Formats: sequence, C-alpha cells, structure tokens
Amino acid sequence: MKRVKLLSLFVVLSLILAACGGGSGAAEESSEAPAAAEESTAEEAPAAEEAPAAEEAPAAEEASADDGALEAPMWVAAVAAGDIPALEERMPLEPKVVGPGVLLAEENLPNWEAGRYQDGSVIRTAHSVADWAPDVFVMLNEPALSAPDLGVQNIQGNVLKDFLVENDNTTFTFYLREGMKWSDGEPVTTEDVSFTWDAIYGNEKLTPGGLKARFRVGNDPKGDPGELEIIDDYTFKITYPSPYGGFLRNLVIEGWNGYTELINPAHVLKQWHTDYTPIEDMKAELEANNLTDEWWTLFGQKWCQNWDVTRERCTGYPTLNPWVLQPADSPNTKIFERNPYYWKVDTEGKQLPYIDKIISQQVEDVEAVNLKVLTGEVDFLRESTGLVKVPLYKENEEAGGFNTVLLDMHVDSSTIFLNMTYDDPVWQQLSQDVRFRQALSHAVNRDEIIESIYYGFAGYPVNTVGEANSTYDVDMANSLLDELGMTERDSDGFRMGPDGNPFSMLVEHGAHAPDLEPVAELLAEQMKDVGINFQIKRIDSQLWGQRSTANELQATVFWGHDQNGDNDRLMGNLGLFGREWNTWFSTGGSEGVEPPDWVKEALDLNKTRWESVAGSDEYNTLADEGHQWQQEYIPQITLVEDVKYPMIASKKLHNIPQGGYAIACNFAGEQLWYGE
Amino acid sequence: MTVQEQSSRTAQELAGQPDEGLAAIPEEKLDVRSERFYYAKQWELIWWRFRRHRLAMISLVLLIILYLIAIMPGFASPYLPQSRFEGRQQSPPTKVHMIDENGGIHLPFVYALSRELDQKTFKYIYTEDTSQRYPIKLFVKGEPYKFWGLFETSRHLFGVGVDGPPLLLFGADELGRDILSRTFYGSRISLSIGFVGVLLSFFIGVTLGGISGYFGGIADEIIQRLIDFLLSIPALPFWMALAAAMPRDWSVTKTYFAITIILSIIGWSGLARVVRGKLLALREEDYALAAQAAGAGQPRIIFRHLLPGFTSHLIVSLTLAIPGSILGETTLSFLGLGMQPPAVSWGVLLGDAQDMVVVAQQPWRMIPGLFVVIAVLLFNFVGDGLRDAADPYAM
Amino acid sequence: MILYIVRRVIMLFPILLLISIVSFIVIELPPGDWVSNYITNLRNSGIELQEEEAARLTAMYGFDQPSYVRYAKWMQGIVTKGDFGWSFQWGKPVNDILRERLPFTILISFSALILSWLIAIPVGIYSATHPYSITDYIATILAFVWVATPGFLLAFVAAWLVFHYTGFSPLGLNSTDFLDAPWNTAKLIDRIKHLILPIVIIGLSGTGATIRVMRANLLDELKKQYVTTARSKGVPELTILFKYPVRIAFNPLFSTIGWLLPAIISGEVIISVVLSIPTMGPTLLRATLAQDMYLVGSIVLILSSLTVLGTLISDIYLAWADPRIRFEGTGK
Repeated sequence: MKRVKLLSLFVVLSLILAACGGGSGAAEESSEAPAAAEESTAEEAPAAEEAPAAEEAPAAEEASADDGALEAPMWVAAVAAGDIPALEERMPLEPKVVGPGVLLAEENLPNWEAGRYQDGSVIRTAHSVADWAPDVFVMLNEPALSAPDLGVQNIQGNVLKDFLVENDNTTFTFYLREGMKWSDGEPVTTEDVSFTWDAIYGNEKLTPGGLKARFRVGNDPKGDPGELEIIDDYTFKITYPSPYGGFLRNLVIEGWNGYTELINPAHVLKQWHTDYTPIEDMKAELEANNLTDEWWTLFGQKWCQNWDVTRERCTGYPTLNPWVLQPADSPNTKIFERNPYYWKVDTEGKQLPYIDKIISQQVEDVEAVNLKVLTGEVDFLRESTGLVKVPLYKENEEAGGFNTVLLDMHVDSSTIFLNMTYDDPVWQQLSQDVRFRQALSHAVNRDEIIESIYYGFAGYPVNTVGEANSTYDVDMANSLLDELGMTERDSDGFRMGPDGNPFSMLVEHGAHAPDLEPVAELLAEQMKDVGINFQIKRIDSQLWGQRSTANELQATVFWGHDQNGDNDRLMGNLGLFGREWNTWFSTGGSEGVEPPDWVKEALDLNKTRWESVAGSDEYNTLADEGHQWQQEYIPQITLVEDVKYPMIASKKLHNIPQGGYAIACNFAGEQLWYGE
Repeated sequence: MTVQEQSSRTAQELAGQPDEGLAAIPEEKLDVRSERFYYAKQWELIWWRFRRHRLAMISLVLLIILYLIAIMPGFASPYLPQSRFEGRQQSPPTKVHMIDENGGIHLPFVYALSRELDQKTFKYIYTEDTSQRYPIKLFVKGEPYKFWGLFETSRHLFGVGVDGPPLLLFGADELGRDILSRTFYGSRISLSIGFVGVLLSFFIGVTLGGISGYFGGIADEIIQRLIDFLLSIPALPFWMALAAAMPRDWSVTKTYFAITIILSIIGWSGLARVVRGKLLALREEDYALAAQAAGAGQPRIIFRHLLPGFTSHLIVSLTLAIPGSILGETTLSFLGLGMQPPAVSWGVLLGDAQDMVVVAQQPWRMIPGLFVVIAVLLFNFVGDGLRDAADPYAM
Repeated sequence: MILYIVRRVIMLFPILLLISIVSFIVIELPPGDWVSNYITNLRNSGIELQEEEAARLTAMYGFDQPSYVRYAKWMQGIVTKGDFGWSFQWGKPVNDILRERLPFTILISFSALILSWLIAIPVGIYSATHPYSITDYIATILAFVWVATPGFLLAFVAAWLVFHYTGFSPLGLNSTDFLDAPWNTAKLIDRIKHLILPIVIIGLSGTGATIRVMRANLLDELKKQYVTTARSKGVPELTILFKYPVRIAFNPLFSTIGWLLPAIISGEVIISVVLSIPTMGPTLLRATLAQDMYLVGSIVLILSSLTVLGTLISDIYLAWADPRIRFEGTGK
C-alpha cells in the first residue's frame, strides 16, 4: 500500500499535476487558426458524420431532449426568463471551435463526437484536500494559448484568439476575442491585460520581485523583461530586446499556468487597488478583515489566480472557465455550474460545455473516494485512483457503471536524486563521478520494481537513462564501485567510502506520492546487495522542502519531471541533483556554487531551447541533444518510465480518450457528454 | 438467578466467609488452609485468586508465548522480515495440505506454486504444482540470522527448508515478504516500546495525584492547574515539532522511542486526576483518620493506607494504558507520524494494509491487526484477573 | 462553596491565556509556516511559484512580522470582536468554519456519548452485580474487543462490510446525488443513514472502557461496609444499589466528563477521517498538518476552554454528589 497517508493528503496534489505534459507531437495539420470561423468550416465534415448520435436521444428522458438548440436547456429557460442575455450576445464574435484533434490529439481520441446537452447533467467527483479540487481545477483551467494533449506543439489560440510572431521572435502581437465576456457578463478587453501588467506586475506590494521569468527572455529569472504595448481594445503587443521563441510555449499549459498570467478582471479588482480606489474607501473592508492599511493583503484575498478557481473564496469571482464555482450549503461540497458566457463551441455551433454541473465532494481520506467509486457515486476520477486498486475497480465495474481506463501518467514516477552539492567532500567527489550514478542505476532491479510497485504497468527508462544503463547488472555495479575505490567493507558487508571511512547515504523522502515509500524500501534492499548503505527515512513533506532548499538533503526519491516530452524540466530537477548549482543559476552567479561544465552545457542547451520556437526543427534537435545529455550523464536515476494511470469514467461519458495522458482528459472536460 | 438470590449469596460472602479464596488452596492442605489463608502474604493471596480466574490464566500463558516470540523472532519465524519472494507479491496464504493428489495422508506439506495475471480481472491466478510435496519440518535450517546479536544461526522453529517453495502462512505483502515473519519481528517493537512510557507516566501520575489529593491546598491548586494546562497542549503539532527536532542521524526506532518518553512525561495528567478524586474521598475515611491519630507519617498514610484502597482502579488503568500504547502506535502509523519502514512494527504492517483493496481482496494482510487486537485483549484479561485478585479479602 | 466556584472561575482566565500562548508557540514549532506549506504544495503540483510570489504571500499574510505581533493581533480580534482570525487553508474567516462544523460536531459527539453510556452503564452495573456469570463474561469479552480494536481498522472494515452487503457506501454526510439537492425527506433519510455508522463506531469505541471502569468502581463500592449493613437491615437490593453505590461509582466517570467532548473531538479524528465526516477532528488534523495556525489555534483554544470548564463542572458535581469531598479548608 503506502497509500497516501494523512500527512500527504495535503501533498496529494503531488500525483496530480506535477510537470505539465509534453505533447505526443500529434502530426496534425496545423491550420493555425487565426480565424476560428475557418476552423469550423474545415472540421464540419467529420463532425457531421457523428451527428446522428444527437438524434438518438430517447424521448423518455425527462426534459432532456436535445432539440438542436445551440445552448443548454437551462440557458434556454434563463434567456426566456430574461435572466441572461441571448446566446449571440454572450458569445464572442469568433468563438473557439472544438472538434476532432483540437483538445486531444486524434490518435488518443479517434472517435471524437459532437455531444448533446442533457438537462441537469452532472459530473460527480471527489477531492481529498481542503478547499482544493485538483481534478476540477484541471477541467476548469484555461491557458492563454493551448495545444492538443497538453503539449507544446501546434500551439493554437485559446483565450487569446490568435497571435503574430515577428522580428525573429522578438515581437509578439496577441488578439483577444472581440465580444468575449467574463462570467459576470463584463467584456474582456486589453484593459484587463494592462491592469495585470501595470497594476499587478508593476506594483511593488503585489509583485515584490518584479516581472516573472515567464516574461523575460529565455525564461531566465535574470533575463531581459518584455514590454507591453496596447494597440486597441482587442490587440496588444509584447516586445523583447532579443529572440524569445519559447514565449508562446510559456503561455500554454507550461507549469499549469492559466490566462490569469496575462488577463485579470480589472473591473472587479480595481476596487481593492490603491491606484484606482483611494484607501479611505476600503477602510470598512480592511477593518472587517482585521487590517489597517495593508490593502495588498485585501487584494490578495480577493484576487483569484488560475489555481485558485476551486477555492471557496473565489465563489462568484469572474472567470473565463467552462464552469464557475457556486455557493454550496454543505462545507464539504463544491458545486460548479456552467458558465453562460463560455467562449467555446463544438463543430455544430453548440456552446460548450455539454454538462451542466460538476459536483465535487470533499472526503477526509482517499480510500473513501475509492469506496464511492465502487458504489457508482463518482462519474469521473483521476486524482485519487491507484494502480493497486485496478483489480478492485475491474471487479465492480458493472455494478458501479464505470470503466477503468488505463492511460499514461504525466510524470516519471520515482527517481533517485543525489544532491551532488551536499556539503560533504567525499560525497561530492563520489556523486559527481558519473560512474557512481551508473553503478547505482545498474544495482536497481527494475523488473522487480515494475512488478511489485507498478503491477507491470511501467517500462524501462529508455529515454532518460537509456537502455545501456538501465539493465540490472550487479557485477557491473560492483566493479564500478570497486573502481571508485569503495573496495573495503565493514562487518555488515557495507562498502567503506573511498576515503576508508564508513559510507552511507541518507535518503530522505517526503512520501509525496504513494509509490515513493515502497520504492525507497525496495531500493534500500537492492542497494544492500551491492554493499551500499542506503538509509531511507520518511520526513514531513514540509521539512523535506526546507531541507532541500537549504542544501541539506543528501539524496531523495521523488518523481522525475517528464524528460521525454517536449517539456523541459531541467530546472525542476536541478534543484534536487545540485541544489547549490541551482542557486548559482537562479541568482545569476552571485550565490551558490558554479556548476561543472557538463551541467553548464545543459543549462545552455536549455536556454537555447527556450529561445527557439516549440516544434521547430531547431527546437526538436535541441530536444534530442537534451536526451543524449541525460543518457550520458544520468543526472538523476530514473527508475521507470511510461507508468500507467487508471482513470475512472462513467460508462455513459463520451469523448473519453483511449491513450495519452490521463490528466489530458481532465483538460478536455468541456467536451465530455452523457449518452447512453 | 434473581437479584434476591444473588444478593443473599453476595451478602454471605461479604459476611466474612472467604470460601472462594480458600477453594484455590490445594486439597491436601485443607487442614491448614484457613490458617494459611489468614497468614498468607499479600502476593500469595493475589496469586491464589488469580489462578482461579481461568480466562486470565489462559491469557497470561498466551501473553508469555507472545513475549517469547517477541524475544526471539528469528527463531520463531521461518524467514527474515526483509526477505522478498519473487513472483509472490500480495500472494495469499500458502495452502497447507495433509492429503495429496491420490488421497494419501501425510504430515503437513505444501506444493510449489506458479502464477499468472488474469488479463481481464487483473488478479493473479495461482496454480499448484502437485508433482512434488514439500513437508513442513520443525527446527529446520533456513536463512541465517543473529540470535540476540550474539551468534549466527540458521535454525528456525519451522519451515520447508532452503530448497522448498516459500511457506507463507499469513500470505505476502506487496513486496513479496512473509507477513508471518514480519508480524513476529514486529512484535519486538510493538510489545516493548511504550511500556517504558506507560510506567513512567504511571509513576508520575500516582505521585502527583497522591500529593494533590491528600495535601490539597496550594499543592493541589498548582497541580490541578498544571493538569488543565497539560491537557490543553495540542498533541499533534507538538508531536510534529518533536519529530522534526530529533537528531537526523537517529534511527526511526530511536526517534520514536524518544518521542514516546517525552510524551509520557506530560501524559500523566489523566491518571493523576483520578487518583486525586479517590484520595479526596478516602482521606476522610475512618481508617485514614485512625492512622493519622496513631501518628503515621503522611507518605505512609498515602502509600500504605490510602493507595491500597483503590489499587483495583489503578490496575484497571494500567492494564488499559499498556495496550493503549500498542494501539497508539498503530494510530500514529495511520497518521504517518509513527514508526516507518524499514523498521517493522505492527503499526507499520497495519499501515500497509490501509487500503480498500486489502479489505476487499487481500484480507490476509490485516492479520497483524488481529495480533494487535489479541495482544490488547490478553493484557486486558490479565489485568481483569489481577484486579479481582488484588482484593483477596474482599469477597 | 460559592466562594470556591468564584475563585475557580476567576482562575480560568489566566489559565486560558497561558494555554493560548503555549498553543501558539507549539503550533509555530514545526518547521515552516503556512506560506511555505502552500508553496511546497503548489510546487509539488507542478505549479512553480517564483520567489516573488512567495515574498508576496509572506507579506500578504503577515508572516514577515514577529510571532508575538501576530499573536497579539489574533488575541485582540478574539477579545474585542469575537473574531478568531483568518484561515489560510480555507481562504475564509475561522468563524465561518467553526459555525459550519461545530454544531454538527456537537451533534455527533453527544449522540455517540449518549449511545455509549446507554450501553455501558447498564452493562457495567449488571456485570458488577453478577460477577463471573456468563453474561458478565460475554460483556467483558465484547467490551475488551471494542477496546482492543484500533478505531481506524474498525471503521475501515465496517465501512467495507456495509458496502459489501448492502451496496451502500456509508461515507461522508450524504450520497453524492443529494449534495446539490434541496432539503427534503429523501435527503434527510440519506443523511441519517450516513450518520448511523459513525455514531455507532465513535460511540462504541469508548464503551468498552466505560463498562470496565463502571464495573470496577461498583465492585469496589459493593464491598463496602455500608452496603453490608443495608443488606442486613433488609433494604431491597435495587434500592441499595442505586441509592449509593451506583452514584459513587459514577464519580470517576464524572470526574472525567469535562474532558469527554474534547476527547471525543480529538480522539475520534481517525474514525471521522476514515468515514469522511466533516467534524472538528479532521478539520483540526488538516489545519495542523497544513500549519493553518489561526484555525489550529482557535480550535485548540475552544477545546481547552471546554476542558477547563468541564473540569470545573465535574469538580462541582463531585462536591455535590459526594459530600465527603470538601472544598473549604482543604489541607490539614
């Protein structure tokens, strides 16, 4: 088991999202959607074939008959009652058209179907962290730009209608969707962009450190910042002094960001910002919150960034998401209702999402979610499932009316990280020698790990470690360790260090994911076979974070960020395999320790890649070089790749993918619909 | 039996005919038994009465066996706790046969197993290879282990030997380790840790409660407010802080032990309050006043005269506290704050089993939980017997 | 007596103040604070917050101020406005969380307590008056099995068995279908069905111990001279039993009654967690782990107020129930 302990309930987020996925590079025709209308004509044909599905609607279904209206029955009623404006007034002139291959690559969802509405349709799911529903967050989240399958190839417009890249990747012009509205009905204009840029990023209290790395050349925290220029109500331009081809990539799902990186509802936020509202006018509210003049605290409590959207305090906050949070009468329930102003349509012109509501129930223990799955009380679940439970799911599929879909996990589970800058000269010398890392990699019996921990649903790390170094070869490991001078053994059979003193490595982990602890336990045993004293200890995940930041972790097991996708996570990993090098890099060399050449090589490679355009030949070549670098130096010892992940979906849900990342199905939540 | 009949019986007993106590004295000593009874030492009286309590006697014997296992787990279990058996992850308990294929009867034996994954249900299907029988032998040679860290031996109480297929009487865990061996090894920590802590807090609790209850006044006031205060310290953050504050190079077991001790130092308050309440009542009794009049010192009055007046209550508290510490260990493991692998304790083993899939499909992985229940039960029964035995003159 | 009560009530305040200070310190002891926790969590989710964001959050939530300043502000809010501060984790005032969960917690706790005593007291009395009878043995064994089973295991297995035999999942407060439904009879029935298991398990988890304590105390009492005297005078057995011994046997129970509510709240955390009941227990646990300090501090403060108050009440009860306990002129 090592199921998520309570301690890690808070960290369960762990499995959730880590590292956003790299696209599988779906070779899909990129008719780069400047005019969404074009898209829609181009894709109408295949969708028309699917259309009969919509006619099968059995008359028996009470009030749910889809009569071909372009909006949900509840909106038809609301419009009739005069509660909301008519559909045309709610939609932008050019909505984003969702069809085959738009949200998920066609190879992962070959049978995309245009759906139909069902009055009162609900996706029931569950979350186990206080005030944070990760499954729903991913369903709701809308990045400024997007690409199929959470990838970075074939970037299209999303919240932003379109973009224009000029002057050798230095000038980026973006177009908003004219007529697009916030969920409260207010128009989205470039004022929302300039507010974000000037009033938030430009304000010392709200952004003490200045502009984010995302808006600096090369995604470098010390890089040159971009400059914003507003052209008109729906057009703005961001200019960089030097080429920054990766900028677009930084506006898609990278790091789970959302449109709030660029666009925030100025009409609401102004009332808590001193640039627009005198502090005297805020006094009453400040006092109610036990504050005196800390308006920025008040602002922070009101401001909802993209990852805040499932938080209760953001109820009623204007968003651009498919569903918006509603007040619920029970403290452990989150109810999300469709956004009347949502700006996506299907190929038939129907406003998305198809499903009226998402209801997520907070459970105190992940096991409780799983019992609810078995009773059929959950229609969709990815977050709290576990490979270990697949036999149990399978046994109850019929009774519970759900399918267990085995998809890919978006991170490489369980990787050994050696902090090569840990303050111990013997350790530094040893761990920085690639032979030591190779020896450890050969000492790992990956077959046993795959069978015991992943029930066979995982593969060798051929991308990150490479085939040659991921074989189980105790002799090879032993001879490499001997070569390193670790020939002496103590009475327990453990090798002495090259300096002749007892050697042990303290592997502290935060049990961030349920597989980490059993993996660590197994590793300790396997390492014993080659005489390495691999001491494992589970510590509080907070303490783990602190020790990591303070360069006090010697070694750990953690998930490795996906290296075989487009997504580059060298930065995420660097902090774990060389904390001081990471500090050196992020402070521009003023603090920390200068990394050796082989690490600098990767940093340069990374920077060049950030300057290139995602999906370009240059980019792909650099990505290949990155893989070669990984395999040559094994900066971290990845144990397995291609771990499968079970996703639970009601048998009635349509547009469930057959391949790709499980989490991508969340991302494409607006195209899910209920059929028979 | 009606209340009336019952009451007459009780009344007779109370009238000072210690018939049941005497019944415990062996027959051949009948002639001297009344004399012996009246001159017996207190522990003898307790023992006589205790022996009469059948449930308590059986429990005591079982508890001793449990402790024997805890003292030499290496000998009692067929394997080492870390030994992994390939292809046996989550395997159900090995079937022990007495009758072979052809109906022949033998001493207990097992067959070798092969398994494959059912692609539909994702469950493993095990097939027995009936071509060869592997008898279960006593005092068999198996994996070498260190006996009390003194000398190495490879004798195990039972097993099928090194050549046989794995003998997993309680099944295997997710890494393919023998749950029986792990349960036995786990008893080492589970039955010992916490014991010290309980004794420590018991000692402090009785002393401070005694002082508070007997002397009253300022001492009482201070101790009572201290209790209010200690009871209010939030345990969980305190525990987390302690866990983070322990030296990093300490082993898991050492850290846990240290925390247990620290917590017991502040965990005496409940008992102290009960002791105080009892003493407040008892010190007004005639015999206490008599002792005082006779010039007995105050410690003497408390510990010789008053304390025995509610020994039974103390014993009940104590016998609930020791198993309480065993249960506490499992609860902390549940919270992820207790013992952790690679240490083996019942809490760790039970922590492994907190999964719906275990309850539903691998119930054998909850066997360590059964051991917890049994150990706690045994302690309680023994305590119960002791309680009744502690007042030999009473009934 | 009245003087004693007044003195004890006055003493409550410094104790509570001290408790609040020490709780605050203890809550701050574990490494990190809520902001670092939040950032760690987001980072683990793949959401990389940069140092600027960390600095913004730290300043925003006032973690850059020394802890005594934060304590003073928090206390000031409580004393002057009854405002228990802000919960970072839930992003709303602590008062709202307490309002949502406290009544419900009290409902569950008291139902469980009443169930527990309804079973434990009669059984305890019967066991004590019929020692070594078959019924006593059965009661003893059952009581011990309850005492002996770890609560979470019990809850876990019970939940599974209920599901297995009825197809109903007894977790949470309502089936997911009713979460968004308005209150009606069906929802109420569903709610009640969900409450049975937690109340039974929380209630019974304390029953075994109560039976044993009750039995032990009553046995002690029944051996006393006055009982014998009463019997010899021919007082009916039931009168003897309830006139005095039973009352006295209650004393040790009542001397701990003050702690029962806090104990049920903090002691049954695990069962509530396993059965997903949103009581104060799991809320406290979560808040502690997430270092949501004002929420933890407030719950701890409330629990300790209840404890201290409960202690006072049980002391007063003891004085009333057992006239031998004198308050005035203690000490000799």
